[in-house]
Amino acid sequence: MSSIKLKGSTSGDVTITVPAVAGTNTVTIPAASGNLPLSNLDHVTNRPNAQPLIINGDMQITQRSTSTTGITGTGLDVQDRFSRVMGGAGTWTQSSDTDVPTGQGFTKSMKWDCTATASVVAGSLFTIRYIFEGQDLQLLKYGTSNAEKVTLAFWIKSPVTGTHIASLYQFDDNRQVSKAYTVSSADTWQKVVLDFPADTTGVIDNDNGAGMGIELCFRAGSNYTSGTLNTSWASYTAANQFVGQVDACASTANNIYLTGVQLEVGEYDATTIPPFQHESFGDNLTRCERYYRQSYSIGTKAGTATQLGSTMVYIPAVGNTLRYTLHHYGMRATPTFAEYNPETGTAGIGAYEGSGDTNSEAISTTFGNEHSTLLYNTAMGFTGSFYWQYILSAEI
Amino acid sequence: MNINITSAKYNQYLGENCSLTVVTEDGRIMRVPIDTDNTDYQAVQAWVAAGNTIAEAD
Repeated sequence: MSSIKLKGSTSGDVTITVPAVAGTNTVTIPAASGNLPLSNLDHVTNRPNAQPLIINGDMQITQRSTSTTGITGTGLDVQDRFSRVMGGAGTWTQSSDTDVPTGQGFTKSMKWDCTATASVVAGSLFTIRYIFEGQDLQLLKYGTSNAEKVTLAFWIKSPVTGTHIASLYQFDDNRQVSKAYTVSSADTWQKVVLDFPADTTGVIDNDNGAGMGIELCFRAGSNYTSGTLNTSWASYTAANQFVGQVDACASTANNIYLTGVQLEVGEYDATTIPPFQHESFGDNLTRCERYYRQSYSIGTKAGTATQLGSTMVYIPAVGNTLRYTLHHYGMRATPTFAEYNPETGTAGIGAYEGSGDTNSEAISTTFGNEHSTLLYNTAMGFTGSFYWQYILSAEI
Repeated sequence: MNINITSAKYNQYLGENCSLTVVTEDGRIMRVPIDTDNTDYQAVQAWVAAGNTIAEAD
């Protein structure tokens, strides 16, 4: 380690020390006058993205539900933005949990509790998946000689030790790359930092469709493990995607926890990875609502019998037309609309006041775009208050 | 997202098909927009490609 000491004109001195690092390193001082913000240097991170690339990486937002039982297949049920690919992996309960790594600022984790096992078959698969819109990843410059490496980091608490596989999949050109990591201690929080190569060949389309997906694997059958792990970007070959993955789904004693998922542009290791960017709950929720929103309170399942949050209009006379516009600015695409009876939770209908509150009437059609949806019924069959709960989904 | 469709039927507004009522195996009833960016509509398109038919509006 070498140092340069600059002595003050009257007293004191400043020492500039070069750390003991290999290779030739260059620090460029800008041609400007001013004072360095020394007090903030530990917090300066040169990210090309203003917000975290991954939405809800701290697992705070659970609009649809805080716990869902009996999961056996692909879908999205609890933590916003995080879906799963599942088949032949048993039965699971997914929930929001307060078991988190100590001292990291996280308060919620995604928990998976295996409640029934299933034997591994060739097509077995269980991955937790996150999908980015293509237009949000243009900063990666994929398909050019300037393509960027990325680093994926997350906190995991796996019930089994050994090799686990993380994978990136690029939808537009059907390309994929994998990275193995080792869980060294079962049922123990561990921070994983994985750098992935740049893809100078495949181009992520600049649109609102699926651009790239992250998949964290916990079970894979031979359809996904019989080849050679694909550690460089290449055309997708299923057999090369999850080679070496240990089975985390073999016991009903198994619980999987995940939080603090972040993707950074550039190559980092466990020492240099920038800190997780914590967002406010409100900012996080707003970003999630681009993909899903509901009239129910956060965490209340669609189909729950409750009036809380429901929308109500008054129908003055039998035969009147219903025209009601739901505003939902900036969703990813025109959303799917689904209505529920607030009194019974029944899907596909609303409720109206009459002789008791269990009467029902359906909204006959919807007509909308990413900002608003017109709810329409040519001729309502009653007079009085008509009310309904709803969900809007533009998931990717 | 992954949905198993049992039926799909067009809805009309001002005489034009504008959305679909889709019923799924798990009992969901959804109004799916005719928008190729909507993943539920993409699922309907795959369902049709598999030999199924969308019913005309009433």
